[in-house]
Amino acid sequence: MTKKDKIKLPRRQFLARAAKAGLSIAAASTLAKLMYNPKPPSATTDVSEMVIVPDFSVAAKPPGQISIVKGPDPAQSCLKAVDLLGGIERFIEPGEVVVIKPNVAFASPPGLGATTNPALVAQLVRLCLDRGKAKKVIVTDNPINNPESCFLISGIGKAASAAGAEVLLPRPAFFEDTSLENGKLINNWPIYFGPLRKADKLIGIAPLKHHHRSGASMTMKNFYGLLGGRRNIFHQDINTTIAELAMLFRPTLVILDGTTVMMTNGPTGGSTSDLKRADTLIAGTDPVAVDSFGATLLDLKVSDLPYLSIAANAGVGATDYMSLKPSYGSAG
Amino acid sequence: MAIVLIAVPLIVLIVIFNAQKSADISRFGIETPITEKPQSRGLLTDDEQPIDFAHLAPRGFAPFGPGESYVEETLYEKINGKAPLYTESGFVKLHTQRYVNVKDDELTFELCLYDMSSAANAFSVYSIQRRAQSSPVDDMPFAYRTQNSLYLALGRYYCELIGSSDSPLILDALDFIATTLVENLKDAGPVEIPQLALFPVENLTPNTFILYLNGAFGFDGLTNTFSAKYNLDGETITAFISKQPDGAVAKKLLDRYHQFLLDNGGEEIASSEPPAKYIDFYGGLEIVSVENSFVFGIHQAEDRTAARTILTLIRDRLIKENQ
Repeated sequence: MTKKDKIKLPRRQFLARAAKAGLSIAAASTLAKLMYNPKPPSATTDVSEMVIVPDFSVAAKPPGQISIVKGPDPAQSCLKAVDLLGGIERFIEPGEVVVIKPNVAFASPPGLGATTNPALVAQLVRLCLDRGKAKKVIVTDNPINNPESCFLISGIGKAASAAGAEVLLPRPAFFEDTSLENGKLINNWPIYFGPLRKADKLIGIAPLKHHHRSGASMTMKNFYGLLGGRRNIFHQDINTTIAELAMLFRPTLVILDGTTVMMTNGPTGGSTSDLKRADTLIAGTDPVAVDSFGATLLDLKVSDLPYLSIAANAGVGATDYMSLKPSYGSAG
Repeated sequence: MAIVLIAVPLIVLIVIFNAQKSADISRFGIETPITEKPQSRGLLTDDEQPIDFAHLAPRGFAPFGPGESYVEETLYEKINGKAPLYTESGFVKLHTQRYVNVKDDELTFELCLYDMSSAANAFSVYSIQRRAQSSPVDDMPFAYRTQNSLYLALGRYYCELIGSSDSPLILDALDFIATTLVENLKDAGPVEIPQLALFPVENLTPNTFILYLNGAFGFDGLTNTFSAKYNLDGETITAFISKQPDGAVAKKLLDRYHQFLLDNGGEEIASSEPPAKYIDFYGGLEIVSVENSFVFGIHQAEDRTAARTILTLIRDRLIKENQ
């Protein structure tokens, strides 16, 4: 028996891995593809030159709240879910600049569920502008694959613009090096910081998806999109990476869209048969709690997604979402 | 001037690429990011240029943007977290092309052609991702449709044709492209996977074959393992066969897998049919046995009688194979 064989797995993890075994398993075509993120990670950047990501969270009483809304229309569910948390006014002061970070990772049509639902993004933009009285709402992401195509084909660019947001695409000046204090992996690494520089609030809004490498892609994984450089290297230790992202980016609010869930073949999917309706949307100030509930919609447990416990142990949030006494509602 | 316009960006690209490759990544537990790639030998070119699939546009559709190509180091730019599934399975290159309906720009589809370097590798990624809710495609041994997409393994290539919707216009276009690819990739290598014939057809559920190149059922040592589902009296049974270099290697693998199951919580069940080993694994039955150079068995069965019946069918088939 080799040393490698002796790796002990918890039962659930073993069964999950066994069931999914195998699943666990050009130079850029245009200059633009790489030019928007030209800074390689450097081992020599002076610490004083690094940026510090602001804490965008708002003081919540009690600390950490989530709401869970059932309904077939994610835009309607979003309104209800935010209302259950006390309304958008709780999170946004009039005149503030709000950055919304959807998942625009792929140039994939909206019906395939690989990216955030464009109607949901538009609803959130309107909510921030109309009821939150935000001065400006910026919708942005850092897709590695041609950003113009991703925002176009996902429908998010058009929907966000029509709702009144400024749609911002990555460009070289937006990338700055940062380090997570006591971080193991996010050290001296470029992040997509430009849109955050003058932002007052940060809202993450993600689709609920199976993920080949991490098991699930939800609100914590969504911030992977703010990493620059050759970030695929982070997939080598995806659990620590996602947990560290949750430590680095402290959003004001996160929204997880489980109206339609990508159950298999994530994060890209491709077939509508990968999708299942769950008619559930979760909003909250605690991404760990939101994602812990989200895991249940993928038929997973907290123990199946180690990054949840890593983040919880680091004080980012609670895996026991019931301890936050979720507010429940329905819409549509 | 034109030379400057081309040369400067190229130099920038090279500098960026080299600098990123030389970054300190030891904290990820990786000594070197360079992996040895299989050599590309297909009819597609070996250079980094995208293949021109624009001319394949079906009637009523036009190319939507330029074709793109990705190699091992860049595949994540296209499919992000799913890249390891391919790069760990012999991936060489991905060529893509989008098409859009000339009258309705909501109707789009994308052709993704993965060069997986061998028919077995292509079949592996095809079979692992096969959707349960699908239907086979006539005259294509390894192809299936879903509501909006079509997938096929064709020799060394794995192809995804992904439509934006289930519009008949798109589905017809996908069929056209698939047929065209079959006609144009005749030298893509074998279209048959001989190991599939090792599974007895009696009670076999069609189109349930999966090839795990590595790590079948969570055990790293279980390589080149085919599985298939059987239905016996309403019981679904998953059977597997792993061909090893010789009988001695197979016997060692049997022992290692057996020990792996025990180490991870399995409990031995007395077996009267050596060399087969029966293990109760958290309420499911695992059986692992060996026949000459084949390790074979049953995975996560609920019904012991049905599992033994299928095991016997497979053992008899493997005995014939060895004669």
